[in-house]
Amino acid sequence: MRITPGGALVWAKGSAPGPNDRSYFEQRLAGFVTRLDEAEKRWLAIMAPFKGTKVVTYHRSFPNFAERFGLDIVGDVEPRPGIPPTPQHTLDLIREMKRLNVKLVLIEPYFDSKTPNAIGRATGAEVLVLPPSVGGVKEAGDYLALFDYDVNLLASAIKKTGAH
Amino acid sequence: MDLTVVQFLAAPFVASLILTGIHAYLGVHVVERGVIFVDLSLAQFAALGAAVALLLPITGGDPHSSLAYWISLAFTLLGALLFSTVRGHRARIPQEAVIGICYAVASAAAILAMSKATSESEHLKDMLVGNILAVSWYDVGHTALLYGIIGAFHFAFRHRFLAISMDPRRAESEGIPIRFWDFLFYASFGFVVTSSVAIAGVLLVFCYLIVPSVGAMLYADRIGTRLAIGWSMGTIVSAAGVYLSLLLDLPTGATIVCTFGVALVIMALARPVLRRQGFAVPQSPTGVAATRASQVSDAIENAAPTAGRTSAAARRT
Repeated sequence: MRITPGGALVWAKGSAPGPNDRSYFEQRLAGFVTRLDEAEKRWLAIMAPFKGTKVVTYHRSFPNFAERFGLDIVGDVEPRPGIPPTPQHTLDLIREMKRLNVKLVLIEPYFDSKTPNAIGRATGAEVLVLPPSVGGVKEAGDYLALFDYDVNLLASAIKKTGAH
Repeated sequence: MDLTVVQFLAAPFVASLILTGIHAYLGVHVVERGVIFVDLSLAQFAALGAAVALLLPITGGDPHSSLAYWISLAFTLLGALLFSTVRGHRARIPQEAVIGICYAVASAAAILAMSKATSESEHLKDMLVGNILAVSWYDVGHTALLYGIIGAFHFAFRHRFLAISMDPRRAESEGIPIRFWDFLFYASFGFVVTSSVAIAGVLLVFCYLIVPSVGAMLYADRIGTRLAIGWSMGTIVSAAGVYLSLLLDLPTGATIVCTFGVALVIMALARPVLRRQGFAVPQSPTGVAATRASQVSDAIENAAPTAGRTSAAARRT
């Protein structure tokens, strides 16, 4: 996800409303800021015990999300976008995951899960489908719901697999 | 080779053995019928079905769901119906033309379907050479069960199937309903090809079907011997292909296809050498493809030094 909660705030504050809408916009903005701050505290609290959890992603994705919530991305399934991984790369990734005890593979919904599932079976890791944007799954209806969904899914998976 | 590699390769290797087992047998029939491209075309129909299934909302874009398999199978059976109605000396259009056109159109249609889905290039590669390294033990078990049932069915009716493949005119004169048994053959073939294509892709499935059978035909006439040679070749090439793909860091499915090609060339080159050593290599194998294959080895023999040529020519008269 490119936009972290902090980033969303910068974007929201930077939007310029028309002169007639100004007060309505500022009212709505204030409400959003409040809700976002509370939600962010909540998400950070959920993810705090899992700081430093190692994960593998499909591409070099989720960099901002990982940094904000303390995840350590140690490798990716498909290093060259659009070009299927070679057998040696997949084997090296499996060995690295076993060495570092990585139990989570995070992929976006639009990637084919065949190779991630094979990696999951070989390492005992769980493959998590994390939507990066609103509408990726039906529960992620808006920006806050998206983060709620992703953070909760991640947290319960970390707890379940004992990844941390 | 450490434990990780062996564990990683175990399920894919067993999958390749299962594919070899059923396809080498079906390939004997396909090559005898002289219509080599029917399996390529049917495999492409299966792949088209899988590509279309990706787009339908009911499958949820999951190409590996069982619903996707049934949709893919429906397309394959449609192709089977098409090909079995065109066969027969009473058909106006040569069957090869129909099969070739179907292959081309089905391939292009699959690309159209894939252009509307995500991960397009990965699906395209999967369509052609599959993703055998990603196969699970569940897939292996499921495939073994399905192919076991179809194998049993074919074994039970083997005389009927062999009759219509090897000598259809005689079978027809004996009162066997050709089109019905043709459809049964293609339908059971369709079940196999649909799930094989999901694992190994169109090109690799074609190789498993044709190459072991053709290689065996170079060396044997009897069906039993041909099967033995075909199964051995399929097993060895699968193992070598997987190993080479790891060694050279190349896509596995495509490496196995190329290894099949190289192995067949070696078998063709070895034939005149073995003949000269006194091994009982058949002089005049039956069937269209086998005749072409023996023409290849004869051509190689003719290029050999004078001494060899004379004795080979003398043996031929």
